[in-house]
Amino acid sequence: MTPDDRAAPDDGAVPATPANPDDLPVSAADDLDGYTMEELGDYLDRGRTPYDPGIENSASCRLALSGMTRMRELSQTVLVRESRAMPGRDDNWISGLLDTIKAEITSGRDIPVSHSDPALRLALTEAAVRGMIRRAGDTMGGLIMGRCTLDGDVTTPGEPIRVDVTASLEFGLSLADTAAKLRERIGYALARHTELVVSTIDVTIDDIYTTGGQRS
Amino acid sequence: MSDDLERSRGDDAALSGHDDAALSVHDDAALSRELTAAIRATEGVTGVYPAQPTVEAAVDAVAVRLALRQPDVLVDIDRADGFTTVSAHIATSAAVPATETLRAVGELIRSTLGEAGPLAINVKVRLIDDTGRPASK
Repeated sequence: MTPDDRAAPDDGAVPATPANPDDLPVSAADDLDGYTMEELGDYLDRGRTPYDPGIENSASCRLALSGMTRMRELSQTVLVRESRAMPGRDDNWISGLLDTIKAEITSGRDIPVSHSDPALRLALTEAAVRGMIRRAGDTMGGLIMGRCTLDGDVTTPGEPIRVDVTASLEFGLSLADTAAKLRERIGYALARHTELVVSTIDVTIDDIYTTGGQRS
Repeated sequence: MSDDLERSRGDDAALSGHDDAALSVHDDAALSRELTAAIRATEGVTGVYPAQPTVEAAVDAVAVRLALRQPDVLVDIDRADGFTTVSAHIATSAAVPATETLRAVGELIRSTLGEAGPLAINVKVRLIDDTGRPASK
C-alpha cells in the first residue's frame, strides 16, 4: 500500500450496527500504554497538539489513532445527517468500531520475516499487519472495514493462512467487484510487506447503506 | 561503533566486580543510544519504540535502568550468562516494504555490534505507517 492508495471516498457510508463487537476481546488499558480511547479521542480533537510524546511514541496508541482518524474522515459529514435522521444510531456504530479498533491494537502474535543470519530474529506484530489490512480497505473508497482476522499459524514460516475481513458496502456499488478489488488490495499489501503465504482472503459484506442515510 | 564506545569497552575489561557491572550498564546505555539514532536514520524507519515493556522497566526500577527509557535510548540490550540479546521495536513507512526495512535494521545492529560473542538480535515492526507523521521526535 502506498500513500497514493489513500484517496478518501467522496462520501461515507454509515453502518447502523456495531462492527462485530460481540466476538472481539476488549483490550485492557495497558494495551494503550496507559491511555484510554477517550483520551486519544480528546487528543485527536485537539489536532494532536500539544505534541504528546507518550502517545506519539506508543505503537499501540498510533495504531488506535490511525483507525480513529480514518473513521472520522469517512464519517464526518454523514454523521451529522444520519444523527438527525436516526438518533442513537451513530453512537452504536462508533462504539462498535471503537471496540474493533481497540481489540486490534493488541500486538498479538509475531509474524516472522526470514534472514540468512540465524542471529537475526525479525518479525512484524499481528497488530501492525491488521492495521495495514484495515487501511488497505478503508482507503479504497466505497466501504468501511469491520473486523480483520488472520486465521492460521502465522508464526510458522510458509504455513498457509486465511485472511477474514468484514466490511460495510456503500449502496449502489457492485458487491462482487468491490470484494474482488478489496481482495486484490489486501493481497498486494500482504505480499509487499510480509512473507505470509495467504491461501484465501474471505470478504464478508455484512451491511449496505445508502449515502443518503437510508438503509437498503 | 564510536571510538568513545570502543575505548570505554576497553576500560571496562580492566575492571571487575561491582564497578565492572556498573560500567557495563553505562556502556549499554551509550550503545543503545547509538543504535537508536542509527535505526532512526535508516531508510524506511519512521520511529523507534521502547523495546522494554513498561511493566518490566518498573520491576527493574533502578536509576541506571530507568535511563534506558529516555527518548534517545530505546533499544534494549540484555546481557546474561555470556549471551547478548538486543531488541528494537520500530515503525516503518508504507512506502518501503517492511521486510526490507526489518532486514536493514537487523543488519545495521549486527554490524554495529561487531564481534560481540553469542547474541540474538530481535527487531519487530509494530506499526506500518502511511501517515507521514514521525512516530518519535
